[in-house]
Amino acid sequence: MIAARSALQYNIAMWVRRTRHKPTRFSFGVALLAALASSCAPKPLTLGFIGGLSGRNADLGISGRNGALIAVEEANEKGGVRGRRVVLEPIDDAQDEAKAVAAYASLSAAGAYAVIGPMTSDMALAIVAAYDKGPPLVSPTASSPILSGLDDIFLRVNPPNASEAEWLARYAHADGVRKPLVIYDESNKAFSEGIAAAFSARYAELSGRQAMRISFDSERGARHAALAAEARETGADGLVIVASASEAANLAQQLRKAGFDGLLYGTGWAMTQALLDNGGASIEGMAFTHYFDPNGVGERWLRFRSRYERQFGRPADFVAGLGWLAASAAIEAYRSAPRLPAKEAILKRASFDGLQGELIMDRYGDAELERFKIVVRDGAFVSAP
Amino acid sequence: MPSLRRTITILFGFVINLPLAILGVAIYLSVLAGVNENVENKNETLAKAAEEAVRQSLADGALLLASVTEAKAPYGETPGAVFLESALVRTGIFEAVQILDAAGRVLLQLPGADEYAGLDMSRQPYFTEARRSQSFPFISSSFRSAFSGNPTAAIVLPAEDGYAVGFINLEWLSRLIRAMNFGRDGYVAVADRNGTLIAHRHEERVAAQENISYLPLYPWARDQKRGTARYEIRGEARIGSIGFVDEAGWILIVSEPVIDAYAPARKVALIAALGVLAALALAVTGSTALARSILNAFNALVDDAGRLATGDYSSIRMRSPYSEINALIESLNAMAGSVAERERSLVAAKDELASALGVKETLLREIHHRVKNNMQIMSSLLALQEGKLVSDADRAVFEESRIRIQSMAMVHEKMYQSEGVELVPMREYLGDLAAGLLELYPNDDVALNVEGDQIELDLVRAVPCALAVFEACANALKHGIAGRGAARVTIRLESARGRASISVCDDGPGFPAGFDPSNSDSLGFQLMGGLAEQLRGELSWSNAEGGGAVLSIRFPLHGE
Repeated sequence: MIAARSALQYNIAMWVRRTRHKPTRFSFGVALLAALASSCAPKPLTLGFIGGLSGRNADLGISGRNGALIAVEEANEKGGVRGRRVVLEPIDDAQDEAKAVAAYASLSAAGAYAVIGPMTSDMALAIVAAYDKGPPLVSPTASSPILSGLDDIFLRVNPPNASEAEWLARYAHADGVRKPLVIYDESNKAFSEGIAAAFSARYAELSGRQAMRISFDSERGARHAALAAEARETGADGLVIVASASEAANLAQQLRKAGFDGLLYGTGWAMTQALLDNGGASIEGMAFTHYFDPNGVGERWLRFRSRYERQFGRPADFVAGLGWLAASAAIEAYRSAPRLPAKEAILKRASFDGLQGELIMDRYGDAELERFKIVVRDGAFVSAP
Repeated sequence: MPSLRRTITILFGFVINLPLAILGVAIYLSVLAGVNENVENKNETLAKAAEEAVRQSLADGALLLASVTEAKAPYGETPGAVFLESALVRTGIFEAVQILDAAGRVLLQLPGADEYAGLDMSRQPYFTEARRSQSFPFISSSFRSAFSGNPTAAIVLPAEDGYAVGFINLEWLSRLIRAMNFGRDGYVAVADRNGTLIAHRHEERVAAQENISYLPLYPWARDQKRGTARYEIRGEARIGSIGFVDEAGWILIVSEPVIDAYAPARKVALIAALGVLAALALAVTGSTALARSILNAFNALVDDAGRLATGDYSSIRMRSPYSEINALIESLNAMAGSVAERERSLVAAKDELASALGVKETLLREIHHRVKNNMQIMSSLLALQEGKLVSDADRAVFEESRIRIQSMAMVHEKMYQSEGVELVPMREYLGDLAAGLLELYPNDDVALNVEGDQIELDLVRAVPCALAVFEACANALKHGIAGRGAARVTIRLESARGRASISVCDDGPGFPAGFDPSNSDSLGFQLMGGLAEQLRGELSWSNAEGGGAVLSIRFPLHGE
């Protein structure tokens, strides 16, 4: 060990003494020509992005933004859309409603064609409540059913979560869970309360028993160990965690540490790489229902996944895929009908090629997709029969 | 014809302005290249300094983590935990520290104490990658901490039966590089091996784990690891100089707006342009003043030279600032003096010549007068002799001779009576001669007219010409009007193309048919023939169409 330490200290000392070759410089002439050429280019097509990019629950926003960024880059690599370069302007809402509304106002004033996001239902409801016209929100992940069936500025590329709760209830019932407990995060109440209520209602229909519920607010700082102890005391044998990936992972870790050995269920909100990284073995077997197959073998998905991992150094999750889809939908809508406002263009086109199949929007901009059962197995999301 | 003004202007343009402009541009380009290189060198030096600072800080952090964790195991004891937290977390370098067992379970996490003990970190990328690489210290890519919610990167070291993990406080890293902000908008940013920002002056971009791998700068920087390139972000052109911490795969970018980075170059350009413009303005003003000064001197000189041409030989008093022009003025003044002197000499010589000519004319007049008097004496002697002759024929011969002598005397008389003594105006002379002849042949009804051009002959030609005309007139008076009451004799003078023609016409019966002077014993014809030859001319005779004899003598006006 001492020898290993010496080698380590030698390595560290070497860091500061190494010298490197002097690399060549970019050709400034070429850059200048490019700058001159770009000065004659038409005004870029701006897509806004609103999502939680900071804080504990930022994995959702960051994945969605990264996916949207790839869609923008792909469009630009093909020469832009109708000769216009596409730019993505991300703004962090920090999962704060006021910031989300301000971000939308800022992007609208900046002439954004459409806004990708927000990533959570609470933020979407806040913006829709504040604005009834302006560039449409094309949300990758906000799935509250409250937002369904409304002719407003909100469109989305994911289905409402009512069916998600229904399917989770079916899985729990089928898995023989007799005392289900729903732990939900109130920081995204529009989503989480809906899921909790829908799960409870459906589970009651299936089994005749009520599900228990515990809520917490991650924005106020969750005490996961205490929460786990509280859950343990309920005697629940199956837990539905309606929270972000890091919250769900921490909670799962604390639950397992506290001796909980029941089944775990999660929602799409937590179904990101952060859950797998942080959850360790405690989330093995955790089940989800989703319309996104992590084991998909379609060429588009594989190509996207490869590029994402190469570019961002981590695996692509469904949020990244939906971020890509939302941005692609906006770009394709503009390509199809550049003279129409974005909302009309998107709804007129209605059908978009996703990474794992076709997305079809209804006249209110809501989508429905077939769901799969997804479980965590050996540190990865896999589809289950 | 090119003007002197234009020539001087072009000359100044080429000689002063063009080299000045070329020199200005050359200096500008050379300084510009130097300034641009300095800008890039400055930013590259800053990148190198930032790289060294970050590398040293990472090394310090790793050494601290290694030393402290080695010294203070086992970790479960409270004093050890307090020491670790004090040494590692409160220094600000790390936001948290984990001690993991070989399987990745948390033995100790600070801060947080027991709450995290036993949690499974085995699937954390920093753990799996470090264990796989077995190259320590291992620096992970950035990720968001599940405990703090902050983005972080981990330094993983082997520890006793496990691993020590230090979660780098990226705010500390941002503070470290924020001290290197410069200029209006120059800053240093650090991105991890995936292009995710881990240190930036705008901490919210780090908090948002903004990824810059989409910028063309990023793959170039990852490939080159050094140098400077232009790139564009949010519509703003910037230059980025690159540093690379290869142990962590971190890229440092010293970023500055192009507009700021090359502001010195623009200043140089502005100063150079103003300098060249000022120099050009000075050169133009100076050269114009100089050209005007030279041209003014020349114009004054031209005026004075014109004055000289009109005969005013007074000295040019103007003085030019140019020695060459002054030398020219001196030469002109000398020339004017010389010309004036020569003119004065010429006038004196002319006066002298006129005086000598007057003497000569007087002498000539005297000679002509004496010759004429002598001839008059000879004529008088002949008249006395004639009175003693008894034969009419003899008297006629004497009379003719006397008339011829008087005629010659008359020539000399005309010569000394004329204004000049060299040339005899033949029309007047022949008129007087005719009048004199009529006195010799008294007849009131004879009209003798002289008409035609004025012909002036020198004495050498005038005498034979006058004698020939006299003989012709005498012949006309003698034969042309004989036996008639009234008669007319005309003397016609003509000159053309250097030859003179004098004809004597009468209105008498003309020459008899078959008249041939060569068969005649007429002395007059013989004389006229001889005189014509003397004049290198020819004598001709004919009858006029209306009647009357015509005698003509033609000869060149000037001798050959």
